[in-house]
Amino acid sequence: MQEVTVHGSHGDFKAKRWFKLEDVTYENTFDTKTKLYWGSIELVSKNIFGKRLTKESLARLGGAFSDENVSIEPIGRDMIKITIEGNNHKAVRKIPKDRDNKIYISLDKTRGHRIVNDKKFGDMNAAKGKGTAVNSVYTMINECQKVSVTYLKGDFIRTKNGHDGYFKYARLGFDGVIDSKLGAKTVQEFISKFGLEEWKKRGVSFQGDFYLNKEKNLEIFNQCIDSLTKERK
Amino acid sequence: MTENNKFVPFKVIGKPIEDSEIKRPAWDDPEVQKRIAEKEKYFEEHPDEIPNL
Repeated sequence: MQEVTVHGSHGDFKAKRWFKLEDVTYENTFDTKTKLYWGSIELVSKNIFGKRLTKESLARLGGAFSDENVSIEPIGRDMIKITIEGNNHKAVRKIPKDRDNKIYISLDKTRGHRIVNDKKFGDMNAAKGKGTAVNSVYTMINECQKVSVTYLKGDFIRTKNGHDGYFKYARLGFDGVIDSKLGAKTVQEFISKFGLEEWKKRGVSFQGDFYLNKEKNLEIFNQCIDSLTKERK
Repeated sequence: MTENNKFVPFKVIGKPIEDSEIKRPAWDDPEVQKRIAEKEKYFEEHPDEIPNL
């Protein structure tokens, strides 16, 4: 079992605790020393979701799957920050509400998602092709459907160095507006017109979203998972 | 990713949302453009880091 470490506390909401996803439930890790911390998580969880969520549920909302280390922090009283370290990456998610009171998950409000400094996974290429993004988004959507999360949101980047979030997340069904000079108004419209391979060639960074109650988003996601599952068998 | 290697397709729960109900900033919204340009620059300067994962 992963050793539990409590990092420095700065007031009510800054304490941090790491745990192994498969080992925890909310109840059996509660202890009096961290009462304030978990009390705060509970408070924020209630503020956002209207009910207390388990740490495991919150971790899954952040996209954590097995063998990953997870940290959950309340940010103020209306946002939860989830940090995941494991396999070959580090990810930061935030769960706030938007102006319309809808709960969403931000995939990259914080820039600089370092991969874990490990010999095995020490560079970006090592993380490529391991299905991390797919597994993570799958876990998130699965959990989002159990609680009242409306959508996922993030900036999906393309760089000359091979960062391909613009392609990877478009393939999963994420959509966003693009310059109509590209031949379409949105990413998914572009893919419908010209195909995924063309988006891979001509695509650009975009601010994207994935609505849990949008049929087209789920349809594309389902097709993508289905084809990836067959591809990787 | 899937239990017992079987994938159960997701279905919409509740009332489906229409495109017209989705609020998005324009593609050339200055705030979005600035933020994305900053991220592109950052990740070009830090090739070993991965956004979005």
